[in-house]
This record gives sequence, C-alpha cells and structure tokens, in this order.
Amino acid sequence: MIIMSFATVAILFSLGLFTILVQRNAFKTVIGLTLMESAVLLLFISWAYIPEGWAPILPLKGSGVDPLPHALTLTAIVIGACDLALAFAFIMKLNGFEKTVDVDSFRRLKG
Amino acid sequence: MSEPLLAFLYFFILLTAFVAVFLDDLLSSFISLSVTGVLMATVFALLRAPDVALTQAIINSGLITSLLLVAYSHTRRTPLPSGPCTACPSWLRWPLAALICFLLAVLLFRGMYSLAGERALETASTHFLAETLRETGALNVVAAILLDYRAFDTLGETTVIFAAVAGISLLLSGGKHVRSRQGLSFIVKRGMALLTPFLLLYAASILFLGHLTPGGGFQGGSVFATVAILICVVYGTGFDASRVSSKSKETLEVGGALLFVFIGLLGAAWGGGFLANLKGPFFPGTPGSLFSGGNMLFLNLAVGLKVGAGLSSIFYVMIKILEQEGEQ
Repeated sequence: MIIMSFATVAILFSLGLFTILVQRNAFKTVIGLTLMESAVLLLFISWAYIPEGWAPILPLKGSGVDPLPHALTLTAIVIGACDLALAFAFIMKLNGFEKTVDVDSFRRLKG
Repeated sequence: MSEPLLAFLYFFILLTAFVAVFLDDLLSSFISLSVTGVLMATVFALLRAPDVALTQAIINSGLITSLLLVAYSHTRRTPLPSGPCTACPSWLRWPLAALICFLLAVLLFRGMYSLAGERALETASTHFLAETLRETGALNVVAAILLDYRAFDTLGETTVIFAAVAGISLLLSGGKHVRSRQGLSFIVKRGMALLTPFLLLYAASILFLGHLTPGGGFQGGSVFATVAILICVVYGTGFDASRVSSKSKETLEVGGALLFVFIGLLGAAWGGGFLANLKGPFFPGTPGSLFSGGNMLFLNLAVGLKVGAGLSSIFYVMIKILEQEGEQ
C-alpha cells in the first residue's frame, strides 16, 4: 500500500518540476508548483498512516494514526494557498507590464 | 481501507495531473487541477486524516480554483511568438527536463523506499494520543497539537498569512472595483439568500467545534472566505465591498491576531508561560462539551477571524481592476 503511495508521490513531484522547467505559460508554472506541494502533502499523510489505525479523534477504539504529520500538513496547506495567491498577484502585476503570460518574454527583469 | 480503491484514486490523481499539465486550454487545466485536489482530499480521508481532508477540500479545490479563475480573467494573453525560442531551443529543453525529472523520480522513490516497512509511533506521537484528553481537555488530537502543544507555531503561521495579504495588497494596490451591480439572475440571488444562513452556520460549527470534531479555525475561516466569494459572484462585486469595507476586514484580521497574542499573554501573566492552556487561567471543562479544552475555543475563533478575513481580502484585492500603468 505504502509503496504505491510513494510511487505516486515521486511521479507527481517530478511531474510538477517538469512543468516548471518546460512550460512557458506562467499559469502552468503555478500548476506545477501546486502539484509539487500536493506530492509533499501526500508523502506526509501516507507516512503517518498505520495499518488498522484510527483517525486521531478521541476516544480511540484501538491504536491511532500519527497525529503529528497531520498538524504539520494542515498548516502547510494554508501557507501553500497563501503563496499561490502571491504568485497570482505577481503574474497579474507582470501581465500589466508585458501583456503576456509567457515567462520567456518577461525581458524587463533582466540585469 | 481497500487497496484497489486507493490504487484507483491514485491512477485518477496522476491522470488529472497529466491533463492539467499538458492540456493547451488553460480553463480546462484549472478544472482538472481542482479535480486533482478533490481526489487528493478523498485519499486523505481514506488514510484517516479527516482534518487534512477537510482543509484540502475547502482550500485547494475551492479557494485556489477561484483565485486561479480571477487571475486568469484579469490577464491578457497574447499568443506565443511564432518560431522557436532562440535562447534555449525546445529540442534541447524537453528531453533534458524529462531526463532530469525521471532521474529525480527514481532517486526520490529509492529514498522513500527505505521509509517503508513496519512503523511504530515515536514517543511524541504516542504521548499526544495518550495524554491529550488529560493535558488539554480536547478530543481532537490534531487541534490540540496545533493550538496547545505547538500554539506558538500557529501564531507564526498566522504571521505568514498576514505577510502574504500585505504583499498582495502592496503589489495590486491602486486599482478600483468594477461596479457590476447586476450580478447573476433573480433566481440565483433568491437561492443564495436562502442558502447564506446555512452556509454561515456550517462555517461557525466547523470553527467552534474544532476541538471536538475535525475542523477548527483554518477550515472555518476558509469557509467564511468562500461564502464571501460566493456572495461576490452572485450579487456582483459592488455588493459586499459597499457593506463590508476592506478597512473593516483589516480590522477583523488584526483583531484575530491581537486576540491570539492576548490569550497567550494571559497564560504568561498567570505564570504558566506564553500560550499556557490548563497551566494558565483556563479550565478543561467536561470532555465533549462546547466549553472544554481551555483556551482552544478562543484560539480557534482568533485563527478563524485571521484566516477568513485574510483570504477574503486577498480575493477582494485581486478582483480589483489594475490600472494599466505599463501601457505606453
């Protein structure tokens, strides 16, 4: 089970990086960033899972899954949303100058 | 938990992710990305992480998609210049990137493979699971970690949200709201009017019962922000902006942060240390009742104010039309 999760994490993370390296559309870059973030979240949650474990809501009927990565992931999701919003703000601002979302055409930032 | 179901979900997560990356139509790829988020939330729920699943479903597939659509509708996209890019030709770019990413995937999988196997809980996690009820009076262990054991980190996180809101307001300052007073049709407006109290009740229940059931300040605040976005979509942009000014949203946000710090200082004044819960002036209460878990109820309220006001003011700053200063 966990091997399957790890394979998904690896593929998803590399797919996100591939998007950032190859795609020229700034929105696609943001999509790649989101995918990389999701991959990291999935890694945490699947690592916290313990077979036959219960959700960390008391009272437990048996052994519980690890609650610590859940708390970390929760904050990571909110912070991820905030920095995606900041990325959109950057795109909108740059778009006001250049009238395009092609990252190769943002020449004004050079040197 | 059934493994075939999980395999099915993983397959569709990867499929929708590939579609989101390689589809040329931007709108379709946003929707595909949102589907990835919903499937990911389902996987989190199957992996026994209800708090994370709730947050992922609200934020990643609701809020981020709406922000993406706002950013999409406020940018002008000229078609890409024809002819290959001279600085870095695509025949070199694609295979090279594919090679790097394939090697990275193999390396990552090899590294994670060593994590697999029988896993026992660490001492900290065992302690949290066994002692949360006695030490904090809360039933939701994740909320107890966020708001009691590691409450200082949560304060730091709200600071990150504040920094993001400040940065976005700075970048997109100087625009003005388009007064679209029309909004959607009459039926949609009536339907939304009927629905709004229930949506607010849902948000409040998520927020205030965070120490007992999955949920809490982050999720409840995000639902409040989603309600604000829905009202903006249904009634037109002028509706909410004329009733709840951005100034009062700022006040709410700062008020949330100040409430958090005030509760923290109350614990310190009692001699229990900054953000002390039961060692400070708070009572554990009856387990399972609303007024239990010491200061967690108030901290949830503070975080909810902060996140709700912050995310909705991000949305309202982004829907303002930018003055085209770069136009020559």
